[in-house]
Amino acid sequence: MRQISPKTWYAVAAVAAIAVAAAVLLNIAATPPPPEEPFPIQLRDVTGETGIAFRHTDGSGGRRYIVETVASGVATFDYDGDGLIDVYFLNGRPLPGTTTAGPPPKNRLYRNLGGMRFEDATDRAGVGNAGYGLGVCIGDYNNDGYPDIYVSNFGPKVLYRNNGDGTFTDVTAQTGVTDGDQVGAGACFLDIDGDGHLDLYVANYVDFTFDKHVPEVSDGFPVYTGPRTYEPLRHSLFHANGDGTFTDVTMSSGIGRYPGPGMGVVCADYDNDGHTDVFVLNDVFGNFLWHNDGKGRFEEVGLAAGVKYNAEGVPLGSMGVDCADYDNDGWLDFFQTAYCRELPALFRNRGRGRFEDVTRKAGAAEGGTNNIKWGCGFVDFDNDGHKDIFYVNGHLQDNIEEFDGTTSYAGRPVLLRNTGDGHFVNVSNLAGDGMNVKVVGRGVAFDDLDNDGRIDVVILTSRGPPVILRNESPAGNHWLQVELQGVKTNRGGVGARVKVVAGDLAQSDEVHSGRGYQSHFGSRLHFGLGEREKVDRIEVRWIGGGTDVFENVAVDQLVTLVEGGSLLRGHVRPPAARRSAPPKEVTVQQDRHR
Amino acid sequence: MSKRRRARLVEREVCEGDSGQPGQSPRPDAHPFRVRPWILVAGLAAVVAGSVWWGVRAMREARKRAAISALEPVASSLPADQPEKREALELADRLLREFPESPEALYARGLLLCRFGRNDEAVKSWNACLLLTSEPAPVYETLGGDALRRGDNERAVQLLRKALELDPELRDAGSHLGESLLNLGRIDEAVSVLQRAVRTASHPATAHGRLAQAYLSLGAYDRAKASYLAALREDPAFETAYYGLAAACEGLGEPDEARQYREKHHAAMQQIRLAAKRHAHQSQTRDKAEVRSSLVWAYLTVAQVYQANGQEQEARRCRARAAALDPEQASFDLRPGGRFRPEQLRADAER
Repeated sequence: MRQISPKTWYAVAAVAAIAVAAAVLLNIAATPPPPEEPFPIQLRDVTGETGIAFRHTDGSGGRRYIVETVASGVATFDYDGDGLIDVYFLNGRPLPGTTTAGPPPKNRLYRNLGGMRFEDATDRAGVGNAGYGLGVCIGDYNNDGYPDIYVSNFGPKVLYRNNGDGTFTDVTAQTGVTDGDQVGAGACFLDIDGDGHLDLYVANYVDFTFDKHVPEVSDGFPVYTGPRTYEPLRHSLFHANGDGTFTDVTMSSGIGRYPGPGMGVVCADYDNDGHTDVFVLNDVFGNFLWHNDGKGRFEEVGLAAGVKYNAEGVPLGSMGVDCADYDNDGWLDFFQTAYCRELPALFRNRGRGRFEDVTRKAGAAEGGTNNIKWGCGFVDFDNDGHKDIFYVNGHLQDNIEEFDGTTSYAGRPVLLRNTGDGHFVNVSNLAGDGMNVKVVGRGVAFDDLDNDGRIDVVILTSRGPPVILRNESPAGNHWLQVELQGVKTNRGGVGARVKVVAGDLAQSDEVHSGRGYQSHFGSRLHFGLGEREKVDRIEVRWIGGGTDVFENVAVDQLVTLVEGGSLLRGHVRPPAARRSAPPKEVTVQQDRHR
Repeated sequence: MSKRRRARLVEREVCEGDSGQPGQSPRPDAHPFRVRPWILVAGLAAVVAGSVWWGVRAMREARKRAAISALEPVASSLPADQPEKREALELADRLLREFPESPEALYARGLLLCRFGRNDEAVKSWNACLLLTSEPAPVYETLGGDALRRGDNERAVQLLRKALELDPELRDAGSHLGESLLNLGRIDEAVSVLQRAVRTASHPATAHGRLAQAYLSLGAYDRAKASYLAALREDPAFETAYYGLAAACEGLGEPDEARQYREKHHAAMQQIRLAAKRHAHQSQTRDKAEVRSSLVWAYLTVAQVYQANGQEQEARRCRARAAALDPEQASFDLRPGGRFRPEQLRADAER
């Protein structure tokens, strides 16, 4: 037999080894990867499909007036009662130095047609105010069942009364809430004394006029000056007389004692004493927490409560603020956004009127440190029963990249997912293509625009078109949406506290008018329920009224709870269908469990 | 046995008979071209090791080339109405042109670019420097600081840890690492890092303040109080510490002390607010002075690079220009030349 040389053996062995290795590699390459589970939160940019043609202007003409940097807020609410949440965008107006011709820009109201399609209803509704819009809040100030609009302008402010037929009337003059010619900011309706009529808190910014403009330079580049250049303004409080008019009670209520460069505002009963308090962000000044004694008198307790400054004692460049019980302990917490290189602040309510800045400890510091953070909200995007945090970024210096390479004019939004144990994780890179939009964000609103039980996002961008993010998260979890209807107390249920208990999960929330960055959203409360298939109990504590209890409520629906104990069921199609329809088959039921 | 094989054996015998040892005949089964396995393995290993070494070297060289060639001049991107900034950025371009492979020059260039807001180009410069330098620790420290400023805490932690591994005595890496860890909510890790950092940090008050913050988060009020007091001893102007002190005293059940600290903090905030207002109204003149001061610093920095590269005459020229711009600052900043000191350069830049 012919002998094979060792050399040949070696060669054969080497070839065989290479062949085996190649086969293994090819096999690995050819094997399809296991199907990836989609991340539990998916937000998709659907702006192009909505028909919304709004474009924001800050009216800038190159002179860099401070007001340009802080415009504008946005509101989501159902103005025509068709069960679909509509969108109201604020707009700036041309400032001195602007040369653009054409029709003046104005605020725009987009009516929700269903299926995430919108039509411009501004002119028909008569809400196209051409003032310099900064802040907005919604509330049924005259208790007629239709939500009204308050617009906080640089210049005279505007109150639009909803006529109930899809139109509005400007009633500012006769109601007495013009609030001078000041630079406005966030605003909120609230019932300060539980008399069943909504009063109005209006934050103001700084004492700026065109004559007082101070040009500023940084590294040789012209820049916008900051709020410390001007005197801070006093905020205003208007008490409702009950006849559709208001009285200015700024001084007698105590609100007028301290001026401050106000920005976002949110009203909430932070100490569970049954009276609505006011948390006002001030820009590089220290925040105000106005404690309400229930009789219309307010005391500023921000320092003692631990929310005036961040944990380091620094007055933040505060922008937007929201309020929710993120850790489901029955106490409302605050989240606020801040300036570039500052961390946002998550103030956890420890009870007994004290807060702790837990931003770092809770993991809420991650995401947007290198940009200015604006509109924000506590939102349960994945319906797991734990409220996540969303905020938008965008610098106020349009030329920032010329002299600071660590930041940028436009920025990506940030989404911090609540892990349910008091911690947050930055999931901005995982939560769908909607998180990749790079915009100069300002106001943001969160509501269920397509009635599919998942909260969507509307972002107002400075000098640009808005961005609409549709929540397309996997629809496995259950949810419940709650609208309130006051009878003796204010009609919209503003300030009422709702507690929803489903099995081992107890959540609390409150109806706010005005929140985020000078914006309004969330009049319809939303509770994610995870896999719980039944709500055991809903408790509603009305401001200035009693408490109603509802038991054994089905999930995945919108319910309207009427003061006194009635429950109106609104049918909302299941998430899988993703069709948009107004609530149908509304039936009035007497509460059996009150 | 075949004829051909027999013939080959005969031929081999003849050959081995010529060169083999006398009296020894080849074994009948011996193969004419037998290769011993260990020789083959050793040869192969040598070839593989050589290839790897050569490949790594070539790749490193290619990366170096690519990193250097990716650096771009920047001065031309500035508008003409900013002559002093342009002059400073031209210095950065000059460093790149004259010392494209000098780690000192690339490091200093990064600092210059960073000061004038060209941070991305600065990072490129430092990354190129990393491939050339034999002292990478300060470069990692600087890159970590940049990542921290950008809010990229994870990356900052990686870079700063690397810096400290290479040189545990770095001045600011620990303090920055502590802050990054705090931002990530890794409080326990931050405490152990900051406990060391307070001894090395160039601004110990800040490090003490961060450590105090970490203690407060953990509810260790006595330690927080001690750290805040240490911060104030280091820097009495570190007035935000009063706020933390108040919180710590409250935690310790010392309400009167807490109130006193809170009042001190409030008074300090008022002062800061007033100063900021004055500052804003002097923006134009203040900014001009700051840009000029930065230009002086840029010349002095470049002078150090020239000196480190043995170009004494150019170094003198740069110092002369700095002195012409601002004699006071230039004389203050003038140091005897010598070894290139990245840490000193960065400290100057921060100042």
